[in-house]
Amino acid sequence: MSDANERQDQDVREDEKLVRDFLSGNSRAFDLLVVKYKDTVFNLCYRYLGSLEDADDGAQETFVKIYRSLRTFRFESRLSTWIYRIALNTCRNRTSSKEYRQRASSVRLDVHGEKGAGMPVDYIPSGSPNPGDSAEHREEEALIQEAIDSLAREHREVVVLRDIEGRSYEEISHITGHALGTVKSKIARARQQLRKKLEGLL
Amino acid sequence: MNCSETKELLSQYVDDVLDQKTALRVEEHCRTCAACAEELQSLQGYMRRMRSLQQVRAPADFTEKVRARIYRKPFYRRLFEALVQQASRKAAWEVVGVAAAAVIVMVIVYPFQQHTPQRADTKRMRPEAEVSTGGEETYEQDQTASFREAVPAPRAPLPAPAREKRSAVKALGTAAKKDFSPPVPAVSGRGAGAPGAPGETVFGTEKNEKQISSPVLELVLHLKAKAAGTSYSVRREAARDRKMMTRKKTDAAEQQSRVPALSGSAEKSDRRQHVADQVKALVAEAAGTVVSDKYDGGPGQPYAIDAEIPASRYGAFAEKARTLGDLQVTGDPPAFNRSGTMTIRITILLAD
Repeated sequence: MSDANERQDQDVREDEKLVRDFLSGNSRAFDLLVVKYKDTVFNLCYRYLGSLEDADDGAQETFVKIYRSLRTFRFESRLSTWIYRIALNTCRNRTSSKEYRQRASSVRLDVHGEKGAGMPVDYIPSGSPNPGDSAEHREEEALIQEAIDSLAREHREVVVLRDIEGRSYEEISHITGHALGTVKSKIARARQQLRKKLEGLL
Repeated sequence: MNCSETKELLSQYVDDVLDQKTALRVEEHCRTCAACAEELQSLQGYMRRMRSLQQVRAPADFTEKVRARIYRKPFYRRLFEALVQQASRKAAWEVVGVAAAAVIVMVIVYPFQQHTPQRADTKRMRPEAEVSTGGEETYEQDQTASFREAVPAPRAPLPAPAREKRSAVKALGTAAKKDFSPPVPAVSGRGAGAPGAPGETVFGTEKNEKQISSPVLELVLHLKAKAAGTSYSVRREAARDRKMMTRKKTDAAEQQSRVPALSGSAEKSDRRQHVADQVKALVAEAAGTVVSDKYDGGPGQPYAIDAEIPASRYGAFAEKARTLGDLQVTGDPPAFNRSGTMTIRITILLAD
């Protein structure tokens, strides 16, 4: 068994223990679960929703839902997949809301409209690639995010899950509820469209 | 494998999810096809760039915010618990329940305070026989009917003698028939010839009674009745009205005795002026503003004061102004404007 697989198994065992602790009444277990997954969920929400404000609210809502439905978790899939699924559904619901659609355009202008604007430094972990980037790099990041935002919802979610979060095709199939073949074709189409939008930048 | 098939599979090829045989065929094609090789290179560049996108991290207080959101109780629950806590220190459970109910009712009822007195008026518009056959008819039972009746049928214009009679009665202006004070029945004024010029809204007449038919107002009246612990019996209402009438007559008599008896047009003008000054003082006392002040001093001419007063002070204002006697208030009391003030006209009438 490879190291990667071993790490994955250990990770799954840890998650299962957290869930069992939580179900047995240990509220600290849930705090640990939040600490473990908060950045992943937050990043997914940000890439999907396109604004930090929406990401903050969406990620919080995701964890509230997790808290309320953790008792229904049956250990049939990995906890991380289940969490991704809840986060994705939360984001889908938010993008369907009238309020989000109305706000979306102005938020985009606020966050990415100006040259050199992009993600506030506070939200960038020191260990991430290219920390403390130049204005040029931040602008490029903002343009990529804009291109992601402009994708159709079904394409945006597979791009975020596969190309940014690095989830496997099978996981994406579980998370999105699409058949594996559909996932493969959606990923191919989404990449094609995104590359077209980013022509000249990549 | 041709270019079209290869391009379909490139996405899976870069993700390393193709079986070994298919992957080899893709590689083989790309070695011989410059276009597909370029496509593959471009896709690999895209993959590298996407994987290098900065990961956004949750804010430092994220866990706290999640915890707060999870444990945040609904508003009604927090209110209830606060009341319970207070009750455990001071009073019995019943007191807390009553206090909470009172607060809620007051919050709902307060903005409509100016409307409620008219309910009594609409009651009295019902034929007496119908009221009495209803026995201890509750407000809940009959409110819809009474509000429906409050919407008047079109009236034929009064014949000239009747108009004169009405004018005379209006001019006599005893406090008992005046529309100034909310509890004064509109029906009595109506029966004797309703006051108010055409197109003019007179407190307690049809237009206001139409407005009282709002479902919200009905609910408010219902809540008020509940909160007061009364059943709003029609009989009780009638008794209360009789009591009010008696009180008004007494007030008017007192007023007559207070105001020195004047004779002659000049004296009446002085008296109008005197009453007008008192009205203006009351407007000022109610934190209101006199908008205009019209009086030509001629015999038989009414003295009209247009004023704006805060809706919340109208009740107290009306109560005091009622004691001045010979007044008529026109305007549209329930429709106070957004700034919370009401525009009213106070007409001082004296028989010449």
